[in-house]
Amino acid sequence: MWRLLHKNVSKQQYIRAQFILFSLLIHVVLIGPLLFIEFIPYKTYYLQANRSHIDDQAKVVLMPLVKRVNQQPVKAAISTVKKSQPVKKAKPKTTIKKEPVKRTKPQQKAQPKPKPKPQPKPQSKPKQAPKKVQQKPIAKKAVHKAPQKMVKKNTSNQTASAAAASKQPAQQSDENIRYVGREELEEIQMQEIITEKLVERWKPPVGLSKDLFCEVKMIVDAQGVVKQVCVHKASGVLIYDVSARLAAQGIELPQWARGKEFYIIFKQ
Amino acid sequence: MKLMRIVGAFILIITSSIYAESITVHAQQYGKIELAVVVIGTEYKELARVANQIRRDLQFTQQFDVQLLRQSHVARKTDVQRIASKGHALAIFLQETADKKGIEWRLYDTHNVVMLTGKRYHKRGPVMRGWAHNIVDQIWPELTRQEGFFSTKIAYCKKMRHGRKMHQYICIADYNGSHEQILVSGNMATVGPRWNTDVTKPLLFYSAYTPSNLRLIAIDMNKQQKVASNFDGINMLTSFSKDGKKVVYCASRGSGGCDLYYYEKGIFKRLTNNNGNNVSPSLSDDGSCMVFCSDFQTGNPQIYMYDMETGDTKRLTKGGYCACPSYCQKNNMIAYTKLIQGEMQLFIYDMAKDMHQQISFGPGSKQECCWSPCGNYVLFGIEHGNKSRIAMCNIVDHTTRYITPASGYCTYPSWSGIYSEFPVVQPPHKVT
Repeated sequence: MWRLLHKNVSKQQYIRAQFILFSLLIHVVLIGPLLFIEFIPYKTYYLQANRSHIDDQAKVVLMPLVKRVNQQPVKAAISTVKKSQPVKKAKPKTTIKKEPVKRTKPQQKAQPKPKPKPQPKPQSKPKQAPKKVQQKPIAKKAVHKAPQKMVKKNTSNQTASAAAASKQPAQQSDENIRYVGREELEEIQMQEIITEKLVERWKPPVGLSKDLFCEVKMIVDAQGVVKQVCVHKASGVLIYDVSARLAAQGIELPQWARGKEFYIIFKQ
Repeated sequence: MKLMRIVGAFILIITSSIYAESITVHAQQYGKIELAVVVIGTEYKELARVANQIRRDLQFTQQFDVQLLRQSHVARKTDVQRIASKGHALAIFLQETADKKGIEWRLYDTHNVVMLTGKRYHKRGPVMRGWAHNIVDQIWPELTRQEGFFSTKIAYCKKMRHGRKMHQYICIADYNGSHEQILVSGNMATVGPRWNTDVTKPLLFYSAYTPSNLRLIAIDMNKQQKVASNFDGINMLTSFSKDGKKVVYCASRGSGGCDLYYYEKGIFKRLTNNNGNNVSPSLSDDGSCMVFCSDFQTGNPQIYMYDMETGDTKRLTKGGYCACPSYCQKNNMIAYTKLIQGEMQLFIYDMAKDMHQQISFGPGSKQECCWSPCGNYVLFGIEHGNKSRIAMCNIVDHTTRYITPASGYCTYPSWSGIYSEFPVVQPPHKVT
């Protein structure tokens, strides 16, 4: 400490220190905005990817049904899957363990280490193939340890697809598999729980334009209480914004939401 | 140190932004916004009646659940917070001005305890509910960013049986069908009432059968009548531009077919010249174009658009039996009726998107549609068996509601503009 006192520091050292500080500042100033630009879209993308992942899941599951069974329209099939989501299903572990086996060779169940290959492209509509999912590293262990809710989804999808086409149940359940990381899974769960609660609570007034949307900022304190709710981006229609704000105000959030800030987009 | 603090704050902002989550929610059910109408003052008898009408108006839209409250003193922060604690997200405070010639209203966001807007309304006209309609028309754009439709009147033809005789009337009522009054009664059969667009001096144009023709008559709210067009044959269904200077109507002038005629500043000219029947003109607000119904091309009635500058005619519907077009310049849409499986159903044509959409599906034949001044509702008659009622359809959610009772036979509805002074028939006659 003695050496660092101002009077004991030589001029050269002082200049050096100033230079280091200046270079640090420049780094922060240059890298900071880059981080700001890079990280936020990444984070948003990350969440949205999860959301689209959920959507894609339904589509990808259903595309082969349309292709193979050739009876059920896509929209009808999607609705079936959505309806069947909350239905409680059988044990998750067994279903997920079976799937990679079926994927590679449906007849040979005894393969020791199944590696999930990229899914075969649908012949009729190649657009539906989930690119993001295929690119992501397959965390097999994470899938096995997946929380029950996510697994339930998979199984429910499987049953829905199985119900839709009883002729090829093995092949259809094969298509339902989604490999996600643990963090992704948790975030999907987070989104699902919050979305479900908000959907239950949000009742916008009837007769307003379908194009309206508003963004509500919600800050949750350390105790899990919604500390602040404000309309971040207004729709321009007061009663619409008020309805969105009211939905976010009284919401009860689980533990993981504590100390977080949420931006909720309300769309009709 | 100062520099370090700035850098630290900057990093903190960045990190806090990174951990914000974004979620999208889609509506799956609809509800009502709880709103309080608070009457301020001790002598609130008159004001309470106005407040009650405001409550009815807001509840009619099915977007609000309104509760009336009373308060002796001017609103304080604690009062607003108390209202918020009762679950009312918004509050309207009403107070009579000191000279008793006006009403002040203030709209509050109770959650944030913020006054959003406030205005002073000068009482216009003798009708108390008219003041309430005027006030709601002022508040409505603040709530929904849409134009109001509360200070409007609807007119329609009504047939009622008295003993063995069937009587015909032309009635007017408030926008919701309440406070019905007879404007025209008599032995002559009357059809096709249409409002002018003058919001200060309302006139109703209707056609009455005479032994020689179907003449066009204008009548004001004092029941003073004047013949507007008396050519041989048909004279009916006027349509005005917003400024009221241009008018189009259909007349046959003794010939077999019916044609459209245009009148502006002493100029009277024929717009259509074909072998078919050209009826139901609907002029745009600026008078630049007009839609009408004609059968000159296909034999079946179709909807056409007529450019007033060039004189070009463009067919908008492709086949079918389409009738009664009504153009709304506010949303650039045309409402019309089309024959679907033996019954006329309501359609709207979006001019911008070039898209036709059916908005009514239920039983009953829908006839003679017209737009509300805000462009959110279509007023029309539903004929079902030997009954005919006036109904309105919200074009956003396609909900339909009747506004006339099932007892009478009501046809030819017409929706007026928004009046600054709410008109009533003098002296009033009530339908028995």
